[in-house]
Amino acid sequence: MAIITFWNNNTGKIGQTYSSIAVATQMAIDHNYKTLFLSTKYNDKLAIDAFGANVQVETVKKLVKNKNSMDLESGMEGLAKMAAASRLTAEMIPNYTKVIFKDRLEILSGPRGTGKQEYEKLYDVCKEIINVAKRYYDMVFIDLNNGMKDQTTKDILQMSDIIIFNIEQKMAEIENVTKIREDTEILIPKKTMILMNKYDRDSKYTAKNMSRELGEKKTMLTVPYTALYSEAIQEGSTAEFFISLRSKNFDDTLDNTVFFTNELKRANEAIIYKMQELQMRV
Amino acid sequence: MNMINILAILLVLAIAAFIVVRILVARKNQEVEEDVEQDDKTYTLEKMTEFIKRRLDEITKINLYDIGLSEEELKRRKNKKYELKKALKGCTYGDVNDKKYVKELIYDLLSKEYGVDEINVSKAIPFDTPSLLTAQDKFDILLYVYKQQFGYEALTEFIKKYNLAALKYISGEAKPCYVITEEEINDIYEKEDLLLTFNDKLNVVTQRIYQSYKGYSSIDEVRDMNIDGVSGGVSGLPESFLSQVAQTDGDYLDQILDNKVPRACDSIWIFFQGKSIRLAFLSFGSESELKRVCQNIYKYNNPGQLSDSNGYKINEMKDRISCRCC
Repeated sequence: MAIITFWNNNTGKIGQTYSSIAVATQMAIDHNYKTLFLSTKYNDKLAIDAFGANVQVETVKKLVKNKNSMDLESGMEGLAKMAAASRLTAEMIPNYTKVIFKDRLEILSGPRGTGKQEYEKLYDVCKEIINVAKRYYDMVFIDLNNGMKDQTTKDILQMSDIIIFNIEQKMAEIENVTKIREDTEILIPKKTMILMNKYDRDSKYTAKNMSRELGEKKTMLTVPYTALYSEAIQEGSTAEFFISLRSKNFDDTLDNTVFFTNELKRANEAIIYKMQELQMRV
Repeated sequence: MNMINILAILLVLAIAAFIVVRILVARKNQEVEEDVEQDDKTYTLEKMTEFIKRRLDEITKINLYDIGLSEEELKRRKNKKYELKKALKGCTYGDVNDKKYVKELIYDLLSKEYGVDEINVSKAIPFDTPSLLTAQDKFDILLYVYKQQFGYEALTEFIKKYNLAALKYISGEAKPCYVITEEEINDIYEKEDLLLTFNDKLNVVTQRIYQSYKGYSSIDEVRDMNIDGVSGGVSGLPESFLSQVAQTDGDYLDQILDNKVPRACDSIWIFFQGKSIRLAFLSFGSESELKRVCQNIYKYNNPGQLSDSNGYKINEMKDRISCRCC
């Protein structure tokens, strides 16, 4: 139904995958939407490792005598083959994903261990996969490559229903956003939301201040930095981490994980509102 | 009593250790068996075709219930397996999309599992030494390169560019005929002076393996092109007839051995813009291969049995291309 793309125009790593996984997982926990998460980045295993999905596959393979015999490719590579052969249908996509929460959240692993040339071919096929996936899932979260060099990146941004523009918590980003808005037509105000990654609420560059500087009416979205979440991602226990957060006392706003969850909930409410707004317009 | 207990415990431990070691050794040996054996013939087309057949067979025949997957995972893997089975069946009916999918799989199996690389790919087809390439190799490469540029119009463009659909005299024939000869293909290959990347080479090898496994032998790619149709085995003498004649006439046997008598399996014709053109440089290789192709051609939509009383079949395939086999 809706394509929600996380994107940034910075050159380094600013924590976009970190934020996008958090937002998608919280969305799956709080709302009854069929959600797909996919990362288009080259050789990026973070999304799939964050949920320990790779470990599960390896365990199954160890139990099979001839491990290769069950290895019909999953993820984007498998779907790319289907797309190349014009056989890709919406119902086929779940066969190539990893289920994190049944009927709620699935992850499509990105291209792994492929050469740069092969990756470019795959990246191009992403557009078709996303378009088909949109017909099956209520929400497709995309962790998109940064920058604007690739035509495929521009195309995916163009076909996105909501663009979540990721920034760092520093003043220079205000200039960056203003420049992109002035120079390009990528960040259409109606479908763009700004999200601050690895947010620290004690900094003087708070979401409110930054929003005011940017002339935004609404406070920009944030994904606060939490050591526990960061560790969960590394250990492949993200799903368990989010489930454990449900037992927290949400009135205790001083608790970092509570603040983290509340901010994710706020981000999700904003996404759903934007989605409904877009549907009304259509 | 105490001593007996200790001895019994030691015995049980020794047996357990022995069983564990046996299992580990067996597993290690099994993993070694899975690896591809390396020798001079490893990267020949025959060996690679054998490997692909075995692997696809393994993938389609694995019993997923044995693995102990979750219900959801089992359902998904079953769906994927079913898709592959469907594609393997569909490609023999002439479904171009199924063919593409199976070829993609073969390509990946060769590059990722079999270890085909820039160097050993030339052992299958000698891309680096044009003098060793057969006319079929050259035609396959040319058609691949043209297909990249013109898609299914590749053969039309190729024939038009080199004016191959013209009447010509060939040695041994009194009348002019429509034919594309081996010499013409060799000349064209030289003129084109192609530079192939590893990806191109592996794609040509993949097509070769596919056509001998699931495809229509040497006419596989030709059949996909936008032409009016293809005929196979419609001229020349069948092997059964040749063997009969050879028993009675010694001169004839000599001619057969010198390849002067055209065989049915060497006969490949295309219908191109109202002309029947013989592709003299292409051959099915053997009657059994011709038979396999014919059997596949008249499989789709059940056009009836090919028999002695009804010695030819014209069938429209899944992609609406008509094929005739005798």
